[in-house]
Amino acid sequence: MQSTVDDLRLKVTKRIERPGDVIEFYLTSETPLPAFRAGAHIDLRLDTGLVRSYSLVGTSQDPFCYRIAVKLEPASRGGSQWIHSSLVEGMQVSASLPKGRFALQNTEDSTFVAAGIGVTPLIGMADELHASGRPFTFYYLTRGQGAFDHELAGKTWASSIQRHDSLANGRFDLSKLSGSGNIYACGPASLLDALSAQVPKGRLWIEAFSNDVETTGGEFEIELASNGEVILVPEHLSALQALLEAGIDAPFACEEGICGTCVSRVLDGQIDHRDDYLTEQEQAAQDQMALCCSRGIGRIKVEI
Amino acid sequence: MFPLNAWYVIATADEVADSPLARTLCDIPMVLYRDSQGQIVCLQDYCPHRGAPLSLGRVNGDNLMCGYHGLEVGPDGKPAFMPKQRVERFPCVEAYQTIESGGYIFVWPGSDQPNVAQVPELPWNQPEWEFGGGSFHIQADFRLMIDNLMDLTHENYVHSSSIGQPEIDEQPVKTRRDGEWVVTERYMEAVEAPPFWKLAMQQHGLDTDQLVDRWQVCRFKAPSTIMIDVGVAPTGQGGINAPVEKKVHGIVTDFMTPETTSSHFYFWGMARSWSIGDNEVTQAIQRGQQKIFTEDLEVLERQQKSLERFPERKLLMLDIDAGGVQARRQLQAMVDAEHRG
Repeated sequence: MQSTVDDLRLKVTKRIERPGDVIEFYLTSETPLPAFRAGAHIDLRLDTGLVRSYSLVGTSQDPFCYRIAVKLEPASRGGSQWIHSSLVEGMQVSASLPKGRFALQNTEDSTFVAAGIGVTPLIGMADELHASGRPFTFYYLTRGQGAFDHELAGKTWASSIQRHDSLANGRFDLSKLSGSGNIYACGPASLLDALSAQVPKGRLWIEAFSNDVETTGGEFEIELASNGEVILVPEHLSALQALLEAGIDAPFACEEGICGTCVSRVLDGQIDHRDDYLTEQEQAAQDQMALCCSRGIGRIKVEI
Repeated sequence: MFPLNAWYVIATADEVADSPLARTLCDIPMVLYRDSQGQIVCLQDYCPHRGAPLSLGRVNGDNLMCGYHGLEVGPDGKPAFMPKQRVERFPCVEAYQTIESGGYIFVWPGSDQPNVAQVPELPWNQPEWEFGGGSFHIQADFRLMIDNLMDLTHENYVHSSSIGQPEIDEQPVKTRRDGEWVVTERYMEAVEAPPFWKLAMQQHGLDTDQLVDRWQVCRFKAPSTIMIDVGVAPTGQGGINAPVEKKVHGIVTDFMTPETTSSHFYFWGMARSWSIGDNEVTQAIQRGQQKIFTEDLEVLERQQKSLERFPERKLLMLDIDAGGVQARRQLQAMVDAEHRG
C-alpha cells in the first residue's frame, strides 16, 4: 500500500543543475532521518498528486539529509517535468521511509555497472564496499559528460572507476565484464536485459528505472526525402526533437520508443535502433526507425 | 497550473438572470450577475468587508449587494455604497472581462490585457448553421476530457449503441498541427452509417440504406476549445467535401472549463448544416448528445478516481493518443510562457 508516502516531511535545501538534464536535490529534515542501506529509494509525493520513486545518493552519513537526482524525462503524467520546473529551494515535499531490496550482498569480488542516471543507488553501495575494505570495479557508462563525474572524481575509490563515454567510444561491450563475483547494475531496461541474458541469475543484482530510453548520442544528419532539406541532429537532441524544432510536423506520442507513432521509413543510411516497438527483424532490415529515440550514423534519408 | 490569459466559457447566457451565480474557474471563486442594462459582470466572489461570498447577496441596479452587511460592489469591482460608511477608500475585488457570444459567457481570468480577437469563433453565429447544446459539471481533470475528445477510438467502446462502429478501430488516425490548432483526423470509407447518423440522414432526406463515407476531424486550440467536424455522405459524393445537400455535416463544439485541478465544467453542443430552424431535430440531437456525453462523464469521473488511487503509475501514450499528447504540450507551453512572464 502507499500508506507510507507521507511518513516524512522534507525540505529542499539545495538544488544543483548537473550535466545531462539532471538536477540534484538535498532534502533535509530538522529531526534525524531514518538510516538506510545504500541502494534504497524513497517515494516522493509531488504537488501534482503523483508519486515517484528516486534512489538515494550516497550513504546514510548525514542524519538530517537525503540526496536524490532527477533526470528530465518525456512527460506522461509530468512527474520529472514538474520537479524540474517547480521543485525549488525552500519547498516542502512528502516522502516515504527509505525502502527497496537493492543492496550489497556478501561477496569478495564485485562489479558495478552504472548507466546514466542509474548511477545514483550505486555510489553509496560502492562507498559501503570500499569502507569494508573490499576491492571492486565501478563502470560508469554515459553519453557525454556524466551527471556525477564531479562527485566520483573526488572519491577515495576513484582508481576503481572505469569510465565509458559512448559518444566518444560507441556502445559499451558487456563481454568486458569478467570475474565470478556479483554484478550490481542500474540503468535502462535494454542494458539490464542484455546483462540478464549474459550473467547467471545468482550473481546479478539489478534496479530497473522505467521509461529511460537513452535518446541522445552522436551528431548526425537527416535528409528529408520530400524536399531534400537536411536537418542536423545535435548530440543532446533526439531526431524527433530536432525535426520539431525545425518546424517539421512529425507525428509522435510516447517519446520513449514504445508506441510506434513516429516510426518512419528510412531510404538510405545506417540506423542505431533504441526503441522497444520494432521487432529484431524489423530493426535488422535497417529501413525504418522510431524518430523519438533511435539515431542515424552519418547521414540518413528519411521519408518525411 | 492553468493558463490564465485566455478566454474560458464560464456559463451559458441563460444561466445568469436576476440573481447572482457563483462559479469557480481555474481555482478562482467568481460571481456573475447582470447590471441594469443586462450586461454581464464577473467579480471575485469575496466581500471586501468581512469576506463573505458576494454571491450570497443580490443585485441592486448596477451593483452587487453583499447579503451579510449590505456593502455594494460595482461592475468595476470597487465598493460603491454601504449604509453609513465612506466606501471610497475600501479595498476592491477583482473584476474580470466578459464577452457574450453565441449563447455563452466567456471570461478572461488572467492579468494580461484581454484579447477580443481570441474569442472562439462560433459557427452558429452564421445563419447557415443551427445549434443546440448543454452542459455538465464533471468531477475530473479537464485534460481528461481533452484526451477523450482528441481520441475518438473510445466511441467504439463507450458509445457502442449510438456512434461507435468497428471501422473506427480499423482506420488509423493521423495527428498534425495546423497553425495554433492540433488536428486529429480519421476517415472511414464505404461503411454503414451508425444509428445517430442514419437518423440525421433521414432528417436530411438521404437514403439510409446506402454505404457512407464518414469523417471525424478533431481540432483543439489551447487552452480549452475543441471543434470536431463530423458527418457522413453517401459513398462517392466526396465525403467531407460533398455538396451540402449530399451530406449531413455537424461540428461538435466542446468547451472544457477547469474548475479545480480535479473538476471541470463541460459545455457541449452540436452545430449542424441540415434541418435549419427545425426545433424538433435540435431537441432530438440534444437528447442524443446528452446520452452519449453522460457515458463519457461516467468513464471520466471513474478514471479520475482511479488515477488518484494509483499516483505512482504512469500513463501510456499510444498512436491513438497523439492528439491528446500534442494538446497537452500546447497547454504546458502556455503555462510555461505565463510563468516566465
